[in-house]
Amino acid sequence: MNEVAGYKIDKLPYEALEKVQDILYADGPILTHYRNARGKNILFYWVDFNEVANRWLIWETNKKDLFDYLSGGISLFEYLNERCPEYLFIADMDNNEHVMATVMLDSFAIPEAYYPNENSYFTLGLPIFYDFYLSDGSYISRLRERSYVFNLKPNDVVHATTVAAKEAGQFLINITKSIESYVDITATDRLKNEIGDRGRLNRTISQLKQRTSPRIADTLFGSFEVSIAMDTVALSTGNAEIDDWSKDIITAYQNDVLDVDYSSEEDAVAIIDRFPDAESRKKIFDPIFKILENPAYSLTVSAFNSSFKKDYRKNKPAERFKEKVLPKQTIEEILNQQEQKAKLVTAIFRVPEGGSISDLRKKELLENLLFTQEGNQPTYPITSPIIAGDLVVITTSPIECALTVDNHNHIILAHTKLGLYAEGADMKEVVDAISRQFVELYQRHLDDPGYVDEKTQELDRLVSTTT
Amino acid sequence: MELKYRQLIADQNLSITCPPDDCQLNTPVEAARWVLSPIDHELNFLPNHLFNQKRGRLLRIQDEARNCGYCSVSLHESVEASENAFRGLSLAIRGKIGYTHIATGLIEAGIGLVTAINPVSRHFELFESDNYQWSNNFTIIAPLQ
Repeated sequence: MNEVAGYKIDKLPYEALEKVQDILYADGPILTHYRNARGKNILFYWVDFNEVANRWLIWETNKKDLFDYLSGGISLFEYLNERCPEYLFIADMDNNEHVMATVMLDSFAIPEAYYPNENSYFTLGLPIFYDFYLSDGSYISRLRERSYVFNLKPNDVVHATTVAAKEAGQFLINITKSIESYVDITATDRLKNEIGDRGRLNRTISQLKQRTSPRIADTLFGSFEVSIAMDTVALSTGNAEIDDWSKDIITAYQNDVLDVDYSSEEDAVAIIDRFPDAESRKKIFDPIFKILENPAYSLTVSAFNSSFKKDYRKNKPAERFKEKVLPKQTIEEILNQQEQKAKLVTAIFRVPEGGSISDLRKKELLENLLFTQEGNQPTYPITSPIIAGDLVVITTSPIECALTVDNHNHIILAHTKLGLYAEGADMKEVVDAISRQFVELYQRHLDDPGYVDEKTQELDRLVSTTT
Repeated sequence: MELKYRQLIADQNLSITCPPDDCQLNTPVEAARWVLSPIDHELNFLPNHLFNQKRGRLLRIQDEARNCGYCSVSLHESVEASENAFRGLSLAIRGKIGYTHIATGLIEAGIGLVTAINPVSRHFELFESDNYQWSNNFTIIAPLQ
């Protein structure tokens, strides 16, 4: 075995090591995880041997890096190359575990031959043992496992590898739009036969959209790297059809949207077959085209466990592809869309005390405009007091309901945490229905104050007194 | 059951029970391991104690539980688990380890005592009884890479 450049030391700084698991094993341990009396996680990696000794590379690690390796997010090569501490140890041991020599070495001095190949990914899936061991937050672990890692590299090097915040923000909005639309369209398609009642279907889809809405599971600064996951972890509903749909949804989005050759006529035809409705295609793919055509950055995406990777630098959407997937709209469609969009703008104005918005002229309106929100789901505040029949409930803040207007101009108000949902053609009717549900919910809470769940916690936050 | 390597186990003078108490008579099980080509190479399917002795190598970390395990045949539950372990080897070890291929096969029921499959490495050990013909039941499927 070769001499290693480092500092000879008398013994390893780790004592009372207790084996946690052999992570890699064949004819004996290859990579073993130990823990010392202080709870530190230490890895022993078999790197070399001769007739008299086996050589081990030893370093202290943390749970996040262990998780990333065991879930397939980084290879063992990357673990050593990027995640090990500044100083590591090499120990030559005989077969009685007698340490014959110990060297402390700088991580840059690890001999090349002591690295595995770059493809040294752990591909057996995150073992259940480690799911528990590493789960300070099992939820986060599981969410990361389901995530896709989007890496944005700037095309302009003026600001080194950094990406403009507004580009990163726009990226997050577009990818969220695409994923939410995909959830909406595929879930509706899957569930429409099972849930015949339109109101119930809308309510179910609205809840599914909110619960699976993309979440940031991890980030990395350098260029701009963000892991985004659809939260199917906490989705178990007891409805077999929904649970089956949720199992497939992440892979399905990968197959239908991420793993597409955006210059291939064949893939364009496949998309049209899969989503015959042009409006659905537009909702899913238009945000993707905006991302891929953004001249400010180049995008690569990979599944967290590295089972899928795509570099879009050479996969920009071709004009013919776009024309096929997103047919040009008729003037009528454009006007109709503009009308629908106009109905979905939420605006907040500063109005003088005692005044009314109708008192303001156009110029004054613009001067007093504080906030606008475009999109298909602004919030609608129902302000205190909440009145239903003879009952009045005073809230400390408005009940912020998600507002949707569907294709038939039905107004839908929903509050996921409180489980409120109402729809109708008239806003007053819908607000009254939500108010009634809220007051009934609060009455039930008063009748059974010992019962605590997400709804009652939200009620306690909102309500101060009743009359 | 008469174990093929009972003398090897006895020679270790272990203070623990070997094979471990929780070993079970094997049911038919798929397994994979690293081998030398051809499949009937004399060094294939040997307990570590014998393989290392024949190749003049030290065993890796000797405690009693491992020492007992080195009297059995080291196996993985699948080709993927076996490949996963090989991918993790350092380049220095790859160059010296000597194994060249991966083999898989169905181990017939009742030919020995098996340990539980390790939940992380997906590795297990088989303490075989006499006269099991590994080379008749295992096939080389690919070079190790």
